Amino acid sequence: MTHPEERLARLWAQDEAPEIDPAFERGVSARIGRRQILREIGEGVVWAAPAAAVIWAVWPSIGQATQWLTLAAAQIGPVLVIIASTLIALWSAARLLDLPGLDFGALEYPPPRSRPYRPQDGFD
Amino acid sequence: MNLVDLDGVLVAEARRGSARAFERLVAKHQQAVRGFLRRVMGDWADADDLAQETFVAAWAGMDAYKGASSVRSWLCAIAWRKAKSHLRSRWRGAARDRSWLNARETTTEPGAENRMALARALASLSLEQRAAVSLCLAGGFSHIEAAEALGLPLGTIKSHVTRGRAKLLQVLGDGDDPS
Repeated sequence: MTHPEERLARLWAQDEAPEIDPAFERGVSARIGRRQILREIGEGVVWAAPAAAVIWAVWPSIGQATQWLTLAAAQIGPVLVIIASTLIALWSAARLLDLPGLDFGALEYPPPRSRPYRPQDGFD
Repeated sequence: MNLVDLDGVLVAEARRGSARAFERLVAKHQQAVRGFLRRVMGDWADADDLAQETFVAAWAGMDAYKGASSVRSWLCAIAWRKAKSHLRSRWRGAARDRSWLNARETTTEPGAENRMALARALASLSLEQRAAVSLCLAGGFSHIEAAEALGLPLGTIKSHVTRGRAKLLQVLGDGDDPS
């Protein structure tokens, strides 16, 4: 190999990227992730825009057809709200007073911790 | 299983939606793509940025890969198109090689003097010559692979490599070796 050839080979080697580069790979994954999000948003818009237009166009006829439902909901709604509020109040009171016969453990979040493992417990 | 077969399997898996398979393709070919872009573009930051864009484009256009060429050639073909487009916009309104050299002259990394020498040598080549020489002499591509990647006839690639190599050696032989 002549002197300029050696020099060229040495200079080429300086431009070489590392064989393993996790930072570069993470960068590619991040860009792909961003591209996927944009694609999903774009697809969502493609469906949502015509759907909104259709609903807007047919809403007068839907509104007339469901007018009875709106009227019924207006009459029954307050009663339903009162019943739901009462149930929630009773449930809260029972929980606060820790009334017997009511197990609220299953509703607790975070769930109660189980007893720590002891060696004499075995694996069963 | 040889490396080409492994690429085929990874591409098939990536097409089926396997992110892991695509990550392996990136890990396997990032060095070749980045090396090629660094030599063609001169600026490492721009080159690495375009290399990432190349892999994103490959992921988005995975169905376009028909298996006629190697995955490495296919990726470098995408990289080449991106580099040409990027360099055209960079060179718009400026003298091409002066702009390219200026980008290199801002480098303050160790060994910058040596890289400047290579930059000067590469600046004496046309863009296609530079790409052909980068692939075949530095990247270890065959002439056929380089022809596929650059979309040029095989004879043109051979001519670019021969003339480009002679010109590089002449420029490097004339200059002083700072190391």
